[in-house]
Amino acid sequence: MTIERLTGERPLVTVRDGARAVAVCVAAGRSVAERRPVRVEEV
Amino acid sequence: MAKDIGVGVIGIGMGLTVAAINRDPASRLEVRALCATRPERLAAAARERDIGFVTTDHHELIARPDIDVVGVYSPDHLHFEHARAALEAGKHVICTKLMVTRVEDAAELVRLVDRTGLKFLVGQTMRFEPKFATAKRMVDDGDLGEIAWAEAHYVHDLRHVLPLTPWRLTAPQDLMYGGVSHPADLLRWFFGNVKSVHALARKGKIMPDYPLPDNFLLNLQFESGLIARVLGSYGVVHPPMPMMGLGLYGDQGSLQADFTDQRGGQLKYVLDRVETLPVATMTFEPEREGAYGHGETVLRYLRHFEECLATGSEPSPSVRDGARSVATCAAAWESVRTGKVVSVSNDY
Repeated sequence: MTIERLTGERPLVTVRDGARAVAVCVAAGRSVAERRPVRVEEV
Repeated sequence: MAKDIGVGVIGIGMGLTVAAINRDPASRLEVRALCATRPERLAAAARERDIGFVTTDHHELIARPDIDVVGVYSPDHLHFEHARAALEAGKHVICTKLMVTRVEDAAELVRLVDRTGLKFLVGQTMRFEPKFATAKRMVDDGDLGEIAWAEAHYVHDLRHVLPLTPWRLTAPQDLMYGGVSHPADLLRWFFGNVKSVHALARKGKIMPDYPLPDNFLLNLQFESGLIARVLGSYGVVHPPMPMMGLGLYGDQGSLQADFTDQRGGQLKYVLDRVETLPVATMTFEPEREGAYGHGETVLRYLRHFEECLATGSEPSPSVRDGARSVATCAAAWESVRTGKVVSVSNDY
C-alpha cells in the first residue's frame, strides 16, 4: 500500500491478495480442526 | 513341470498377456480357453498362441472341466458378473483391477470366496512392479522410520486408448474405479485400511464424448493416522511427469518412485543416517512385453497365484483387499457428491 501511494502504481501483489492468501490458510486450518471442507468465504 | 492347471481367460485385451505363462516350463498354469465378443480377433489370438478353445459365451468357458482358474479381463463393469459365475461354478479367479465397481458386488464376492474356499487374486499390477515392491521392502524393513505422509498418482491422457477400448466411452468406464484405484490401492498395500476420504472431481475438455468427471484429487486418512494424497488425472494433456508415482516421507528417510508404461523407472531415496549419500537412485530397466508393457508384471502375479494354489496360502491382494479398495473409491465418490469427509466402510 505504501508503494502504491508513493508511485501511484498498483503493486503486483496487493494487500487484498495477501489477505485472500491468509484467508485460504485460515480456512485450511479450520478444515483440519473441524474435519470438514471449509469455504474460504466463511473466514 | 506338467501343465496341469487349466486357465480360461475372459477378455483378450490385457487378458492375452496371461497366455505368456504357457511358455514358462516352470509353471503348471496353462491357458486353454479364451472368451471375447469379437470372433475374428478371438480366433486369430487363439491361433497365434496355439490355444484350443474359443467362445463368445463366458458360460461355455467357465463350464469346461479342464478349466480350474478363470482370468477375468473383461471391461470393468462386467467383472462382477464374470467373477461370480466362475466362483459359483467352483473355479478359482484372477480378476484384473479394479475388482468391481459397486460395494454391494464386492461384498457378494467376499461372501462367495468365504463360502467356497476358492482362491481369488485381484490383479493390481502396481503391487507387482519392481520399483514399488522395492519401496515396500524398504518400508517393511524400517528404512524410512515412521512414515508421516504419503502420496501417489496415476495420470494418463486416455485419448489414444479410447479407439482400442471403445467400451470406456460406451459403458462408460468410471475412472474413479478404473483409474484412481491404482494409486489408492498402492497406498492401501503400504498402509492398510483408509479411515476417511475427502475428494474433488472435475471433468476436463479433451474427451468431449466422455460423460463423467475425469480428474480427481483425494485426501486420505488411514486408520493408522497416516495422511496421504492421491491424484488421478485422465482428462488433460499428459503432463510432463511419470504415469505413476509414489512418495513416502518418514522420520529416518524419504523416497520417491515412478513407473511409466513401456519405460524404465527410478526409485530415489534419502536416508538420514547416510550423510555422504544425500540422494541415492535405483534405476529399473523398461519392461515391454504384453499389453501396455505389463507382461512381466502379470507373470509375477500368476506365479504368486500358482504358489497360493500349491500351498493353500491367501493370495495378495485378496478378495478383501479388492473390496476395501472398492470401498475407498465409493467413499471418494460420495465425498465428491456431498462435499463432505466420508468414512470408508472396511467391514468385509
